[in-house]
Amino acid sequence: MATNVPAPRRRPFRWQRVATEAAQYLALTVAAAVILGPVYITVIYSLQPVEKIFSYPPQLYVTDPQWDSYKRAFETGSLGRYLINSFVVSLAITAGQVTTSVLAAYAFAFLRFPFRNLLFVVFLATLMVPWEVTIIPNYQTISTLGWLDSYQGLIVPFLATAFGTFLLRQAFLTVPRDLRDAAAMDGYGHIGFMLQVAVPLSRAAVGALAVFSFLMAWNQYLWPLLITNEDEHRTVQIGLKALVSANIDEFNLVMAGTVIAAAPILALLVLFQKQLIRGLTSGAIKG
Amino acid sequence: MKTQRTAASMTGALAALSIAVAGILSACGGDSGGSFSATCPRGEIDKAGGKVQVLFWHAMTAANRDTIERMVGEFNASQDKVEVQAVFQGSYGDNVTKYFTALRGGALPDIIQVEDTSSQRMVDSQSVARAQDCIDATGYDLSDHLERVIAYYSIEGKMWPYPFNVSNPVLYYNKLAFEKAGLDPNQPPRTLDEVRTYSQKIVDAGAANHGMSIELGGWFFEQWMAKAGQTFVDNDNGRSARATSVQFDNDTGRRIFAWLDGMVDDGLAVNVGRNPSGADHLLAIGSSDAAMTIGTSAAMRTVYGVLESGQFPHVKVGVAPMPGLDAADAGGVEVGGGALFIVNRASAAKQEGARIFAEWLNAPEQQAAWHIGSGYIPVRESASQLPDVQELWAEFPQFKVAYDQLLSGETNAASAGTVLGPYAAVREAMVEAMEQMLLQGKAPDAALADAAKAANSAIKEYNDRIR
Repeated sequence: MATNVPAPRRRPFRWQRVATEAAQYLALTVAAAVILGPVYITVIYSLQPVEKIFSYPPQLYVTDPQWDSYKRAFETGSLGRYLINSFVVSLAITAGQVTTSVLAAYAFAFLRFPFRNLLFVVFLATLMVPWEVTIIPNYQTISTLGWLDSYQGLIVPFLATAFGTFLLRQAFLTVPRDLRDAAAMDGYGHIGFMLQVAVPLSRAAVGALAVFSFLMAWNQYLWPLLITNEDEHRTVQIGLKALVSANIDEFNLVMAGTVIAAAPILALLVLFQKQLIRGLTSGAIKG
Repeated sequence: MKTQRTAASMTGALAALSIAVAGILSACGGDSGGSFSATCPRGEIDKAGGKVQVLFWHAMTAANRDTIERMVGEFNASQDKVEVQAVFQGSYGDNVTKYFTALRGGALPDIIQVEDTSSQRMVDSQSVARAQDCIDATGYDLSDHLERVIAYYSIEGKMWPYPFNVSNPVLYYNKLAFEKAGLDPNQPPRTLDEVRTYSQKIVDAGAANHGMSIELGGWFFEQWMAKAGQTFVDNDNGRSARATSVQFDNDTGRRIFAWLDGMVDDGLAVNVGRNPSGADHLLAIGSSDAAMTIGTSAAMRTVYGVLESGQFPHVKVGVAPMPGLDAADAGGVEVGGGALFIVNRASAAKQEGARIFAEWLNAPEQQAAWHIGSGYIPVRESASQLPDVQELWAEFPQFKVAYDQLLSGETNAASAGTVLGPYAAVREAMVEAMEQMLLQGKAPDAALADAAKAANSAIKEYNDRIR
């Protein structure tokens, strides 16, 4: 800082700012530590031999990482096949939910048809139905169709979502109607306007929905368990459950399996963090 | 905790639905006698010509899963009539949930491993065959099976499932902490009063932070009632007729609650809560937070594997029978673990194949191999006489404790254990009462009375649904 700058007038202001920022960072660091703590411990434990995990006091850093536990978790939990299944199912559900939500939301936002608002309320009402209520009818349907132990059985019941429709409708409503009129003048039909204008303008919401759908599909446990019997179609959460056992003597394997199952989700969150936050708050503030 | 409760209530809801449907189906069936016919499929495999495929759902995890899948392979190789396919279905809870969902028109197994507490629900689903019918028809010899095991899986004098994996609760304790506190490590406590005295000495000597670690669960309470010769529910613990109310709100129950409350209040016991990992009460011994705990004998291999891995130089594990209320109590512990139900929706040939498989798993050699590979106790005496088991017991006498415990005491309605439809709800009521007493300072008598009230309404609700 140059000496000829009149320092006394600026100093109090700067100190105040530094102090405020320091306090903010401290609070955020503490919050991050609380949230990341379990993740950190999971990773640490996955790399330690079992005896170390149970030693007291616990060792919270790794001196000699045992990557072997990941290999063994993969083998004993047959996680390879399960991971592929989870990817196939989650991607298909994500694609399906985004497609159906975009189409339904567009209709509710831009088309005029009788009972539009009533229908939308009915749509929203399905959000209030806990999915446990529908699980048995769904099971019977899938069973009757002969879809037990199949990808379509895992995917089809989840292809539409009221939540996604609601989220995208709110996003579409912020697209100025003038744009629609302008697009119509340029010769765009509904499909053209939807794909070229509405969806690109709402990509934060669409991205958020995609990430959300993927998370939901990836973390499913009960449904895949109910309708699959063969390893061929089972998903990674079932493999993880197989690893988590009444026996505590293979804790490092359980932790390694947890890291493997959670890694795609964590990667997704890091990659799409901005989109997720923007998408979910976009309806909250008018503008 | 919340998710666990939701899962439990959902399981209950699914069960309720499936039971309702089962009731309707049987009402339409025009079956005038019992709800099932007392027949045993025999010679059906030969009639069907050749080999029969049997689907087996189990809930064994980790090393036990490997053991059972290896045994299934051995069974398949041992004969050419039955081919068993073992499918792992998650926990006991997941397995049963899936079963009750599939009852509504999905793919059912031919034989299923079910946790001890689910027997009544399985029977009420009217979807399982009664083992007794085949035992009578084929003259299958049960005289070698442990009396307590037969008693646990019999309702109105008839065996329902085939027993398979049997465990019971034992006292695990740290011999080195006992020595440090001036206690004889070969004289573990036999009563709850002694547990308290020992705990005081352990805490006073600084041998551990607490004398004992306690998991909140209904199982131990039920076991203490059984050892005191008290039935947990009416109608001889639900064995002579369907249970209609609980019987634990009495002097015995109040003594147990008062003891628990006193131990925790006075800092002699550490409450590890619901213990979802199933390991916290045991790890408390490793971390010197406690010197004793009560846990399932099925965990014995794990307990030794972890606590005596060399990482805990201050721990040397001892195993003793579960301490009861009074030394003079003549009762005994109940059977825990799981058993095998044969599904009556399967074809006659498949049912026969499932029975042959269940009988094979009950044979002495298999029970011995299962005991050695898993830590569950053999269900029959001759299995315990086999050289492999005798060798194990000579080297590790602690593996014999749970077996001996099941032979000691009287086998009566109390020690036969409880059969109850809404078992999960009743245990939930019990654990909630314990939480209110230990965490919120509710008086033991009031907490117990509330548990009884909640349990009774759960039983009434279930019985109304069944009727």
